[in-house]
Amino acid sequence: MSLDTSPGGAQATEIERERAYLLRYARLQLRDPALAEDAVQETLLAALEGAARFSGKSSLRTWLTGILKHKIIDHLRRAGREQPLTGNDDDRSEAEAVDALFATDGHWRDFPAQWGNPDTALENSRFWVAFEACTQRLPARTARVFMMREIMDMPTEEICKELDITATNCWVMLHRARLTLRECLELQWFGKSGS
Amino acid sequence: MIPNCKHTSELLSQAQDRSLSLPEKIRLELHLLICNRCRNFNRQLEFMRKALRRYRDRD
Repeated sequence: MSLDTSPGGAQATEIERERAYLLRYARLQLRDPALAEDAVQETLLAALEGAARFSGKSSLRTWLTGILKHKIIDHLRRAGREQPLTGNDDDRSEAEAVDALFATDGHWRDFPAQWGNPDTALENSRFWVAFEACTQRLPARTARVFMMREIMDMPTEEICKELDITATNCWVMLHRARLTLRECLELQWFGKSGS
Repeated sequence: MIPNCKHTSELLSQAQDRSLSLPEKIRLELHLLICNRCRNFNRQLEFMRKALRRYRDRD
């Protein structure tokens, strides 16, 4: 089955309908609205041009996401060449921030509280505002690795290869990202709701 | 040896990205048995992964 991509054609409209999803996906990974917009635009264009290759075996969203993923990785490769991920001051200050979460004996200083039944937050639109703000607060390098793992669903080996970092380095950054996001969510949401 | 909270939090995070070895799993379980803070952290890790997926996929 091929797609009818004539202007106003049924599938052209369907492809366009996935734009909001693709944009959110790209923004989470790229953290730059203009870059995200470009990646999505390129994706939609490639999709319309290559519509004949859409087999209909996967969902339209899965197919489009696959194209977008390639566009994003291309971008990350270019950005990585210009701005390598390893060895800078950010790294040291982040390491210090994580160290500060633990006492010298390795115990939590501000220990993780009970979040009650956090799933109820998922139904609250104000939670998502806080959530988005917390993801945006992650330092750039850490966020890049974390989103590759959690949003793009890439295994760590693949992330290491793409970014030319070691597995240990990758795990350290993922750990930092999770600690930082956790801290922010507790401060901005779960600590406040009194649960 | 039972790991401390910092090391446990590292192992819990890595458990989301790779399969832990049997000795690692045992040490982790021993720590979780006696530490509700790290048990909280573990539940929070699961929640954060779920929330990120939901955030990405919601319409």
